[in-house]
Amino acid sequence: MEEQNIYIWLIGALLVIYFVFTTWLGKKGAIHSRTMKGFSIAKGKVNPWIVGVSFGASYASANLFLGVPGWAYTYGAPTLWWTLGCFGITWLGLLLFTRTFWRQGQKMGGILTLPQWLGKKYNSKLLQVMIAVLILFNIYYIVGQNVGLATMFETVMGIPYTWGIAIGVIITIVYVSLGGAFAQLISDGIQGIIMSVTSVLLFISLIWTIGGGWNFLGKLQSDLAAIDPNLVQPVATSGPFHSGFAILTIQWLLFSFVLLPHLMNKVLTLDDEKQLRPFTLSAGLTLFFLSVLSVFAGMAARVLSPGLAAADGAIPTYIMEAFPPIIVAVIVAGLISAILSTTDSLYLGITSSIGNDLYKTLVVPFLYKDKQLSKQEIDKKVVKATKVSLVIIGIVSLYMSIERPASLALLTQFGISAIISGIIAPISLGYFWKYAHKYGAIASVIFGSGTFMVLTGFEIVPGVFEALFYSSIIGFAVMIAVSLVTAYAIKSTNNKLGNRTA
Amino acid sequence: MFTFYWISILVFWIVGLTVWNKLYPKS
Repeated sequence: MEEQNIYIWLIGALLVIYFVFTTWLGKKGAIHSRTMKGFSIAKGKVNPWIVGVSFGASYASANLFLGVPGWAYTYGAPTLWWTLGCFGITWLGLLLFTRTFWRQGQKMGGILTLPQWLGKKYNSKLLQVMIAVLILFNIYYIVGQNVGLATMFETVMGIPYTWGIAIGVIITIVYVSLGGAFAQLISDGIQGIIMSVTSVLLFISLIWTIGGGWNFLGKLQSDLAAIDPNLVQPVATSGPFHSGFAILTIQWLLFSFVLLPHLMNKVLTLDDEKQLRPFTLSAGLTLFFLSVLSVFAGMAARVLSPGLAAADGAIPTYIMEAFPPIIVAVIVAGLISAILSTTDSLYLGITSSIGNDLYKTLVVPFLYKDKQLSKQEIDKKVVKATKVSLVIIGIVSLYMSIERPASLALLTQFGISAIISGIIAPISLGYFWKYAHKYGAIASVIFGSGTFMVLTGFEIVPGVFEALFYSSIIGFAVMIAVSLVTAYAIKSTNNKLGNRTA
Repeated sequence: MFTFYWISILVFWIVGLTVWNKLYPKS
């Protein structure tokens, strides 16, 4: 109990400092947040190096710092396939997608969100609205983060679960609503640095917890093999890494993950092509530090504290054994950063879409059709609606988190995979395929996401990752088929018209 | 598996930096 009191004071003090700092940032960002462009992407206001760190920080969530070490605790070495992909495959995805996305967005002009990018690309308001609705699935992602945060508060500080969730939601909503994208990008940058320190600390702590001097990884490997030889094999016997194909589908998720709206928004923030070079390098460095190190602490926990009731508790348990209270407080701050830096981007991504893609395209023309409003007046109303929706989404996520869901990881994966399966074909085919047509894109959203929901909803496919893989294939196939049929129909109609006039 | 992991990370750095330098050259 004595130790828990120390934690409450130390982490409590850090949280207060954090809250004051982010509120100050929010105030500073308020100048940029009066327009929709400033609020949703803060275009050109933030250094590209910081935007790159923010990309890594938003990418790395509770899942990477709590869920993945939990897998490492349960399955051992096969989990390394996940963290390897988080650095290498995700970074390659970012490198390959960023340039074209930025260039085409710049050419269209005034793009604030991913649904708007797709809507302009295919010249279809319907597509824009559909993708914006699909993005609401990210609420599941937020709920997963809320649960991770509350679980950690509970384990380390003894704060009741419901309180932990309320603290997390309120802190984030306050600074995002005040300072918009500016506050979110800067606080992400700082959180990314704290998270990197946490990762390195978790890794080097194996020197004294596992022992063996500089050969601590060799000793970890032999300790794990002594518990169960399967823990050091490349493929696990069950779970997410049970076969080569399962590992391949995970790499597909980590590759296409880059296209999620709250991450692609960072690319829209940059206002000059020269900024893409520092942005992509800084994102790669951040992904490296945040992805590949902390997983070993999960394996070390298996050696030091076998028999944990919940594998997700591997890291909180490990740090209390490995570090003195002051360092524990720093690491907990790092874990809280991992969670808040992801949720702030998600809140901003969801609400910008509600304002820019739903309210502005559906409600504004209906409400104000008889009034002559200037562009600035409309923009002000959209900003206001966006901030109102931020509070509403906060309350909804709070409500959905109160009943603790069974699995944090699965909930998160479900929400993001539903989105990816709908947008992967329209974005990637739109880059280079001249026959990509809006009917194909619309059909791909319906059938790609639809397939995913059917496969997981009726439990036809055992894993979320495999379901995403199959539904991505369906998404591509439907888009190609419908686009080709449309192109053929347009061509034959034109021919008929041509014959008639000849 | 651990050795394979670090070698793979090194390979990803080399491939990643090559792609990065090609797609985002110095101005």
